[in-house]
Amino acid sequence: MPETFDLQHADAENAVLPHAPADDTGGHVRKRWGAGFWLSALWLVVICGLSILAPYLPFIDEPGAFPDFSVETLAGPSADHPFGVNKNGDDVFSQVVNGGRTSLFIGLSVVISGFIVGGAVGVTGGFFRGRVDRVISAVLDVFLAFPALVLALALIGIVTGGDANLPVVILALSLLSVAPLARITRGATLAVAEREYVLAAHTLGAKRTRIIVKEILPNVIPPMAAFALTVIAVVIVAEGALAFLGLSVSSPAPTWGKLISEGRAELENHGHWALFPAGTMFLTILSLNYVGDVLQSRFTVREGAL
Amino acid sequence: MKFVAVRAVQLVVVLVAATFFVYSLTFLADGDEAVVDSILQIEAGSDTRRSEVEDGLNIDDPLPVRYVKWAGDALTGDFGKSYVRGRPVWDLMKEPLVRTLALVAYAQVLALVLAVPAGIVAAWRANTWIDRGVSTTAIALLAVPNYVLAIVLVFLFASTLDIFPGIVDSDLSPLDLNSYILPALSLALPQVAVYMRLLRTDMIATLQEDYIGMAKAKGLSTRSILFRHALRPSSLSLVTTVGLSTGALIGGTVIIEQIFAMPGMGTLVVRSIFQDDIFVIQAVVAVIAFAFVVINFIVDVLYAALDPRIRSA
Repeated sequence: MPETFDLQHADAENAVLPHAPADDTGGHVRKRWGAGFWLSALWLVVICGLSILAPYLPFIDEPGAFPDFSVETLAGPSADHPFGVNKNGDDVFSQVVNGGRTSLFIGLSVVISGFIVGGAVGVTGGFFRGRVDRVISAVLDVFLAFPALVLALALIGIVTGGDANLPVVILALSLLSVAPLARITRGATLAVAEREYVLAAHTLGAKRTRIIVKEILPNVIPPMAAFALTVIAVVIVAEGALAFLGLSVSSPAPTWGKLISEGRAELENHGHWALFPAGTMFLTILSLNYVGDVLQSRFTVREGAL
Repeated sequence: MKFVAVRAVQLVVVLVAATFFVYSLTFLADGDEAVVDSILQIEAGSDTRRSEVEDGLNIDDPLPVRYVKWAGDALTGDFGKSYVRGRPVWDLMKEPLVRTLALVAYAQVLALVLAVPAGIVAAWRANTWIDRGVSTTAIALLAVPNYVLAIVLVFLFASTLDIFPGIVDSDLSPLDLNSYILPALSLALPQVAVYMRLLRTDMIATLQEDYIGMAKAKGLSTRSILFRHALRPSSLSLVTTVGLSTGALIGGTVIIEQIFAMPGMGTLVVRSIFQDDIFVIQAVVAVIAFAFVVINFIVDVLYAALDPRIRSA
């Protein structure tokens, strides 16, 4: 679902989240996790592990380290350089790992900050309903009326004058993720708030804060956490797009988007430069989507299955 | 009719909020002084005076008043002047606008042409190898960012096979389909996956309805059942998503235009960002937001036309 950078769009397809089985298993959750799930999860573990450990691993060059002058520039994959080297003689594998480190960091930061703000707004709207909800929904509509990537471009462009840095990129993408995340949390909250056990809690005279903390949040957070994985994928793609345009973090550790855009020049004769970062990105997005989808269908309670 | 009226009011509110945000961002981020300074710097050498620039920007007025004046001019197509290029912004924008809208339109048409048959077949043959093949392809397509897709398509069809151009002409005509095919395909393929999956899910539900059984019992042909009886009731969420995804596509054009060196709105806005040409950035983003909001409005109205239940709601 999160094919392009638009978070709005991820929302559009997932707006049905609280009910409506997205597959045709007739409301029954698949019993087994399946090989695809484990493979995707394994890939994510490997990528995250490499990203976290990158500074401590001897076979990964530090960003900005001296290139290996013993090999020809643009040489293809070899034992020393599994992904080959680029035009300057930098090890592409190290670049992919270091770039992924930044990409994942951005993805994670954006999702966390977006969910803290958007989630709070969404739960408020979904739980209190009435006038509060109408105001929140109206404001969300305004924010959702922007094409997200264009706005990210404008924000970063106007604020930094084309010289983007990490905090600005994270801030811009977080800002844009708030509205879609608020909307989807609101939807999930609405569905939970109508359930019998919430009514029971009300009837027993529980305070509203207690109901939110004890009844609503435990049922809203798991599906939202699963959804967060797909949002990370959207953010990584969006950051890649910004980087591709030269409007994201650049030196000394270019992210995947930038690597692909640099390697594009040599695609015909030295494809490894662009294709290894592109392939890594593809597998990571695929895994995030897949694991996110499977977890979502696990956590989403369907009325029909009760 | 009431539904359309309510949506129209919402449309205006959203438009005003969106354009106000874009307009004020420049002044809030840099401060009025800095904006005037940067214009004077560009104009250095000419005899433009500070007061002239300030008058042109209505800098003495509070931001909302300034915005109203700016928006009033913008409605007549007057977005001010690009100080970097010394030409009216509208002149810089009108041809790129047509090219970008054409690109989005071609991409949507292409996406639907590919997705609708694929979705119908996958639903009709649900849980067979055909369905699994189509669905797996879709999942894989969703994980390919359009910029990666674009460079792969260029590599295959432009560099290797030399069928379509990988770089378009600088005075590209919106009717030059041959040049549009690769950029449109790069934008369309991920959408195909989204649309196809959506249609498949809805169609599977529709095909279980009683009236489909009735149609089968009457001995109607499979094609007639699928296309005439099942497609329309299954296409509601598809229509909504087509509208919503227009925003994603407009965002996507920015990067696709860069790759194919297409002189559209995206190329214009990126160039303006690097040249700090603020009035062009403002105008382009405002126009894109405008287009996006209006398209969404049309989709909502269309949606109501397709589903009578919405009209009264």
